[in-house]
Amino acid sequence: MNCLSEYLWQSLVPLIFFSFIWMLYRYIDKQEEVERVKKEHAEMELKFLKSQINPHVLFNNLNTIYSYSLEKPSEVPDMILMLSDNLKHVLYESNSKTIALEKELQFLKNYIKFQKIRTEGVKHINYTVEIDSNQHQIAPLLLITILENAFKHSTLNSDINIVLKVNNGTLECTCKNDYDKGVVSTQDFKIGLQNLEKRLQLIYKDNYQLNISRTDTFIVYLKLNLL
Amino acid sequence: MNCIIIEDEIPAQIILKNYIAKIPNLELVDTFKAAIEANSFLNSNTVDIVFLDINLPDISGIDFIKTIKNPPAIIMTTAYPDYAVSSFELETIVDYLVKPFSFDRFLRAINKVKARSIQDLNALEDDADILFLNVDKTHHKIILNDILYLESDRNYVTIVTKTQKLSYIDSLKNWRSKLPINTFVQVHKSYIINSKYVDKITGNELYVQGNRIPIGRTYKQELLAQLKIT
Repeated sequence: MNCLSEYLWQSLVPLIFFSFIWMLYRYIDKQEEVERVKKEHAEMELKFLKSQINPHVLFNNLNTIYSYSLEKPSEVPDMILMLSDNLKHVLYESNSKTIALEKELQFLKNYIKFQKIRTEGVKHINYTVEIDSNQHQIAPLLLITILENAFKHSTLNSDINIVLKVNNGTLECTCKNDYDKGVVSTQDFKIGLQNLEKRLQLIYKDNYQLNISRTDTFIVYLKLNLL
Repeated sequence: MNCIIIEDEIPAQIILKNYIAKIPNLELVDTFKAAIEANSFLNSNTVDIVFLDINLPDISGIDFIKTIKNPPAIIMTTAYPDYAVSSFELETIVDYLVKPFSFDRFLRAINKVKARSIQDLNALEDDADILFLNVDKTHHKIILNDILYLESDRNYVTIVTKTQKLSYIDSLKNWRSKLPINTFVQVHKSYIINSKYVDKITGNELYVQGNRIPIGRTYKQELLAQLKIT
């Protein structure tokens, strides 16, 4: 009896001891894994955020403000607020899955105001908005992709016509611009708009329609069900 | 100096116009929104400086430069810092301004153009700078670039070149106006040296191809500045 208990004692203690050590190692290992995944996630989020801020647009807008500070300083305060609002929108507010349509529209309005100043005498921008209700939510930074694309690829002296309608929870955005068929390859168009299509598929699944037509003018049509 | 602006954005044009107006002797001849318009202008006019936006609506600024025959000094302006490396490969691009840029930065670019045009002038003068000295009824050919130093002794001036040594009645003051100021510098009341041939400076003496020359106290500052010694 005595012998058996001693035998048990001698074999159990080391067994328990080593299992404990092993579990500790597992725990530390797991902790590291969790840490690594967390870090990767944060990095990806950051990458996404960075991709949302177009540094060219930012610097061009800063240059516009700088120019006004030399020649028309009285308009500078408003411009700085507009730019700061837009940065806020991109950096902080667009983190959520959807945001108020009103905010998104204000963002577009500011963007277009800057573009109008920058492209004065070079491009003609018509922007019309018809909205029956502001009480909708929309995924952030979808529409801006369409506008950026139009500014980027439109020709000298091009008309850029943007019509935005919201009717009974359905949003329709039509953006037309002249483009140079020779210079702009189909590949160029794809990058920005391809990303848009990817995001639409993820967020809206069957509740959207995106048409791109390239004839004499370049037309992007987007229909979204906001309900 | 005269210049043109090629820039499609009016705010950016305003900044350049504002800066150009602040610089005396820099005249803005014309402003263009597109490279094509500027091209025909450059074909029939000469300008000293072109302010060129890299990202033009019709053609990239870099491609545009390649189309100009005998391109003038070009100062690139852009909001795209990543073009920096590739643009300097073109010799005609003097500087590269990232928007928004300060007046000081702009001024530095203009000074670079000026420095370059002085260099060009000197290069031209290199061939032309020959004069004949009448010493003892003989005309001696002197290549200014070959002069090592000039020494005065009362009413005489001795010109020491790589190949000859000539003394005749003259004054150093007379010579100062004849010599290109960017290479020749007075180091003593009796000496003017060619800074290209200075081998070493120790204390109040310097050596020009083995010849020891004293440095006057009042001339030392100018000498050091000329040799870019700080």
